[in-house]
Order: sequence, then structure tokens, then C-alpha cells
Amino acid sequence: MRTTAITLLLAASAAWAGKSSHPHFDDRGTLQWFTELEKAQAAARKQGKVIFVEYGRKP
Amino acid sequence: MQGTLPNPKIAGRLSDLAVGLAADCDNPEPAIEKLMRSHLSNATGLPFVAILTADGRWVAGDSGITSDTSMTGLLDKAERSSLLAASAAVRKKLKGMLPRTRKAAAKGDWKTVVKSNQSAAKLRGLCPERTELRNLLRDARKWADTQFREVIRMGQTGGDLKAAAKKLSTVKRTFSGEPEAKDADVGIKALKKLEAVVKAEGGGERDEERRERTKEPFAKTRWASLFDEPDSEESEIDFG
Repeated sequence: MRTTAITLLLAASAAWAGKSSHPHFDDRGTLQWFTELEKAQAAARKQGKVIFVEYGRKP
Repeated sequence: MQGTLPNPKIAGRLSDLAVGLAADCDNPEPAIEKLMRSHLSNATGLPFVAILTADGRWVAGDSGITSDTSMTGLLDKAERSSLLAASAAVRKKLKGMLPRTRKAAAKGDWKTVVKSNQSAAKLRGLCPERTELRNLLRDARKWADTQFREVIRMGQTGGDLKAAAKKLSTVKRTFSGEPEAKDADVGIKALKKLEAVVKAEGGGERDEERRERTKEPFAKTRWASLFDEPDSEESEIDFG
């Protein structure tokens, strides 16, 4: 449990420190990325934001 | 896309506005494929991009967006959309938050600035009042970043680690519920590890092997550079 919590904290910190969460390219931490619509919608609702969809091909 | 998103003029606007959905065009979710087909039926070049409301309604979209100009045009279109405009009632509430938030920012009371923006995030819609609140939040984030950099400098130069941890605790309290609080928390953990390393070194030579080993769990964070010497290449983190 403790290890999981630290891992999650480190992952969140990485995202904030300019690391990209996009699965295929480095956006230098511009956006918090999701790969499932439902999860993106939940985050958008929570943060009062819209969803920016990038519909592309894996490199 | 990769070159366009990090452009500071685009990144700030986009991150204020949206979260991202990376959709694989070779294996798309049916709902996304349907939206793209119906709204971008004549599109040819990848990537297709779209801006949707949180409940999945189409706001704007285009195909083959690879330049700063085309991305700026898309954002302009989205921000002008009536689907995203704040209602008069929301604007009134946001306007009511502005005087105390401006005053707080002027005296460096970033906690109030953060809380105002958290309250504003519960209200829907874009308007100039929201933009001003977000700009004040941006100033708060710059302050947090300055604190983080100062803590790293203190760690690298043999500064007072307890004082450094205190700085991070202040950031953590100020940004409760925000990414900076999580970042500060990781920093506090890293400082504790650094303190143990420094103690083991006992004022003698740096134990580089121990430092490398200890910083490993923090490798993907800014805090790894706490264990480096100042101005070493590894400490030059790109904060994006």
C-alpha cells in the first residue's frame, strides 16, 4: 500500500515537472492525457475543462 | 503536433482550457470514431483534432493540424463557441471573486488565490473574469516553482535541509488539492533521504555511489537533482 502511494505520488510529480503523459510523443507536460474517453470526461468535469482530442497514429 | 503543443503561447491557453485524450486512429473508441466521421467527414491528413465539452459535445475540430497558426485558429474558434461561454449568473459569481483574489495576489497570499480558482473550477464557462482568475493562479504557480528551485539549490549547496522542508510544507499547504502539493510531498520525502545521506557522509567526501542509489526512486521527478552537485549537467532539469 505504502509503495503504491509513493509510486502514485512520484508519477503525479513527474507529470507536473514537465514530463509528458502523452502515450506517443513528448508534449513537455502541456496537458494531462488520457487514452479513454470516459476517464478524460471525468477529469474534464472535475477540473471544469473541455477535452482536447488528438486522433492520430502510433509512430 | 509534438512541436506545436509545447509552444508557450499555445501550451498556456490549452492547459487552462482542456485535458487531453490521445485516441489511436487504428483502434478508436466507437464514440470518438463516430464524432470524427460526422464532423470531419472530408478530412484527409492526420492528426485529426477536436475540442469537446466534458459531456462529449463537439465544439471545434480540424485535420492535419501541425502548425502554431492552425492550432491558434482552433483555440480561437473554441473559445468563441457559445457552448463554452459562461452564463450571466456564472460571470457574476466570478466577478464577485475577483477583488479579494486580486488583493490576495498583490500581497502574496497564494493560498487564497488557489482556493478562489478551485471554487471557480466548479462553475462552468469561459469569460474574461475566469481568464483573470487563471492569470492570478499562474502567478501562484510561478511562486511555487521558485520555491522548488530554491529548495533544490539549498539541497545541492549544503543548505539547511530542515528549512528547505519547511518551504515545501508551506507549498503543500498553499496548494492543497493541486499537483504542486503532491510535488512538494515527494520533495519532502527526497529531502529526508538526502538528510540521511549527508549524515552518513559525516562532513567528509561525497559518497557518489550512495547518492546515485538513493536518488533512483526520484529519477522521474525534479527532486533527483537534489542529490547532484550544483551546476552539474544532471541538475539542469527542463521544467517545460
